[in-house]
Amino acid sequence: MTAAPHRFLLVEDEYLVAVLIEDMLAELGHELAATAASFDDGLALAQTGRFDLALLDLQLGAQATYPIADALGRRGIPFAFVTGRARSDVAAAYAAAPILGKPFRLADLAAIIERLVGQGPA
Amino acid sequence: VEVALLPASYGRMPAALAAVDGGTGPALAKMPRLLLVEDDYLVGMELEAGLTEAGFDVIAVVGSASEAIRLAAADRPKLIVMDIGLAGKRDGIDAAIEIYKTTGIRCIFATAYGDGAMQARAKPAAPVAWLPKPYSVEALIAAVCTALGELNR
Repeated sequence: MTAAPHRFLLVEDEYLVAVLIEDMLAELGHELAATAASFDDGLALAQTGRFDLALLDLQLGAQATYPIADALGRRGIPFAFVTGRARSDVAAAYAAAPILGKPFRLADLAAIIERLVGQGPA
Repeated sequence: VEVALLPASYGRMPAALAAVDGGTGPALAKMPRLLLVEDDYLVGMELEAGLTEAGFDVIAVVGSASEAIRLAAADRPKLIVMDIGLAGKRDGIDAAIEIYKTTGIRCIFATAYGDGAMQARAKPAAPVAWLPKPYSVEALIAAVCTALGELNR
């Protein structure tokens, strides 16, 4: 178990999936600090929002969330990509980022959080 | 016209359900009746909206094992979508086992655990499918369609 609670940014364009992930985070003792369903909201939050960790849906409609990942990276905020697709779909430049494949078990989510916490804030 | 084909087409074309009169008209009475058991209000609303839009007749969304057992007995849905973690002493597996024993109605279990111990515990409920979290509306509809096809076999 990681030291709870951590505060998360979740960028996810499907509402049901976002609410289910929020429930899973809550079950692990964490909380959602902010949710974005669009690329623009996600980017704005990544630049200025207050949270310790982030989960990014890899693809928001036609748009990939790499610029959001970059914004988080600049602030030293650890993030993981969430995707229903293959790991190989993640661009090579981001190969080091943890990837949470949808669907995932609570234990998988806990393990990813552990890894993110290990990276620590800058 | 398509409605006559529905039982055979559950497994492969959920869109057909939505295509029938936009979900209204005489076809409605034939739509499979579903009970949703989910204790997160927002999730329940989303599930209901998605399944209703796909043409299913959602008879109720309830948040506890006892309500699920009562409604299943009273309203006899064709299939239940059952969340496992529920508010109260009894969880979705407890509810599903009692419902299956008393009514023969089976469940799709939604879960974020997906471990063997849980599946073994659920076995007496004869689960028709497992829906891993976090699932999209599309994945839910596909699972319901496949499950109904299974039940109609």
